[in-house]
Amino acid sequence: MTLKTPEQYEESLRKLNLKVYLQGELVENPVDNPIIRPSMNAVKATYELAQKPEYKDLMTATSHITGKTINRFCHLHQSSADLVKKVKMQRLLGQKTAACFQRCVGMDAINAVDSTTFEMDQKLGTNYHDRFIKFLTTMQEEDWTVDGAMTDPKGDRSLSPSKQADADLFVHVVEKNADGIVVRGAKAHQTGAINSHWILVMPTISMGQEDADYAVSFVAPADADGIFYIYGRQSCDTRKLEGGDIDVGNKQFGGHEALMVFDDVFIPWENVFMCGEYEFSGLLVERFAGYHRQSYGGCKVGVGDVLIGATALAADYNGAAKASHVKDKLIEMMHLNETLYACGIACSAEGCKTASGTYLIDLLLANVCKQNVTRFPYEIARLAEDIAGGLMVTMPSEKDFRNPEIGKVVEKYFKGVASVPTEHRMRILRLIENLTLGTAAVGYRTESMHGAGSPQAQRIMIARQGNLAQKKELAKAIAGIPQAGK
Amino acid sequence: MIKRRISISFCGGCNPRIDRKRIAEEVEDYLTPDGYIVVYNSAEVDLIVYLSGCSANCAHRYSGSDTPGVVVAGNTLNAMAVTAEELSFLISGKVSDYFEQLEKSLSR
Ligand SMILES: Cc1cc2nc3c(=O)[nH]c(=O)nc-3n(C[C@H](O)[C@H](O)[C@H](O)COP(=O)(O)OP(=O)(O)OC[C@H]3O[C@@H](n4cnc5c(N)ncnc54)[C@H](O)[C@@H]3O)c2cc1C
Ligand code: SF4
Repeated sequence: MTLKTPEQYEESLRKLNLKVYLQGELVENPVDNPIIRPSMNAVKATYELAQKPEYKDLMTATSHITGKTINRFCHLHQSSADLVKKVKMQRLLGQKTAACFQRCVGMDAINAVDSTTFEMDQKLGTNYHDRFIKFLTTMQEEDWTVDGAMTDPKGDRSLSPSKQADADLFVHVVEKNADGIVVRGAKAHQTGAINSHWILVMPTISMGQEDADYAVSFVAPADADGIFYIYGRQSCDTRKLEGGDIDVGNKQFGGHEALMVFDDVFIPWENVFMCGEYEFSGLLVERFAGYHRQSYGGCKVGVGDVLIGATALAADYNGAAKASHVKDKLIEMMHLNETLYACGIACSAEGCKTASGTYLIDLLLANVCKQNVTRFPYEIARLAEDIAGGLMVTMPSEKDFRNPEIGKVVEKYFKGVASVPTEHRMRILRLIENLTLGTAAVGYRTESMHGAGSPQAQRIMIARQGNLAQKKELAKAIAGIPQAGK
Repeated sequence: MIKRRISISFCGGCNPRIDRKRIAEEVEDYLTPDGYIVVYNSAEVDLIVYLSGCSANCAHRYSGSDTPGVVVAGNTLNAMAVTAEELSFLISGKVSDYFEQLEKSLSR
């Protein structure tokens, strides 16, 4: 069953025994919880689109292990064409869900762990890669959604893991025995955790010898003994409990993050992919972050497409669409959005083969992509708010609109162009609110800033990869200054 | 001994992270005393050293050649990370290894 149907995916989640806390209470049934359900729908869309012939080329790939058709989210990129298709798939899913569809973090994690464990084994004589490929083969066979868990809570940012006041602020090994290891700690901001079958844990920063216990990578079932989750609050989340479908902005889809806690969790050796090899932690972080910085050149662009469309409709509905500044602002939004896409495609097209055979993006261009993502969605959102007008934040509720008495008042006074029903205008403005200030702004705005690393993390990589020395030599050659070694 | 012909085939050189010219010269210096004939950018050879300045690996990616090769892309040799200082020496080693293996398999 290498391709699960959307229904099979939902059923498989029901069989998990996840321990999830939401607003101070243990959730009995996460799949049907109204706050969580839209995020499950977004992951479900990754299964649904893979079933459709018109999306097969982007949504599926051929496994290099078994030769079977698998979901692209379970695939190791075998060419730069695969890297390009990944970005296109993410744009497509962003367009279809207008939300974070969560499954990319695991895809980026498997690709990073593959090449890193291969190179680790070559250098150190370990056998992590074989173990990893065994896990991956089952993941592909079962079409699992895997949570990519990198970010630790990190405590005092000026201190390394072993120097923290509380040793658990980074996930670490507390016991090793003949059968496996026991780990303790937590991972913060875990996208899609509650919709995942397995968790792939990686270290969060480059580490030194004193942090060897923190240099750990492994997989665990999402409902393993000792793992529990505290669900992340989102702006306007409780609107989902009101039962309507206008005020939520996007009734069907959403994203989520959670704090994932490891309370002395046993991991058998066959599921361990790094344990103390601190000198490879930096490589793993760099590659995972690189892939995830590429990802945003797809997913944020797809969500951006929806926001731009919504903004253009808001202008149609209030009669301002023909104004030259409105047209120009929509052009600017498209220009910014396509620039992000261009970066996502460029770092993929320039991707290269690693020693394991898996393709890696061009790291400099992937970091440039993400650096732009920390800015452009904010500008796109600003322009959307400009064109939408103040009503997107002052509009009465759906309940007022549905009220037999005052509903007529809302209908009358919030009408824009006479031919467009007020309800359509309200729906579009609520969608813009959702994307720029509501539940989806978690993914479209703050995640654009911090997801896959805060802006400074990309600037460090750009400094490292930017080849400033060569640029100086180029300038010297043109200016007639003697060059190094000449 | 049959003289083995090696080509050092360059990428376009738009944004190199390594000094391709210096590396090519050093590889030539290593190989010619051992009887290899080193030429540049030719497909009519026994082995090609694809020498790309960065990870984009254009020398190999766009070569369209099926001649066996040693692939250098920035600071990687056959996709494994190496330092710029050891690159020329390691490339020459890979070239010699290739022909040693070839001779062994032919003499079997
Ligand atoms: C919506 C969302 C989804 C996410 N999904 C995932 C996920 O699925 N999996 C996952 O593993 N992670 C995920 N992340 C985590 C993401 O990678 C982190 O948010 C990011 O690495 C920044 O870490 P932080 O949030 O702890 O910020 P902080 O570390 O608190 O950063 C805040 C500021 O402090 C600065 N700073 C921090 N440390 C230092 C230092 N040592 N020196 C100088 N300046 C410093 C930063 O540059 C930044 O400006 C997600 C984040 C978000 C917001
Ligand atoms: S933010 Fe984007 S890349 Fe990350 S999981 Fe969500 S959709 Fe995928």
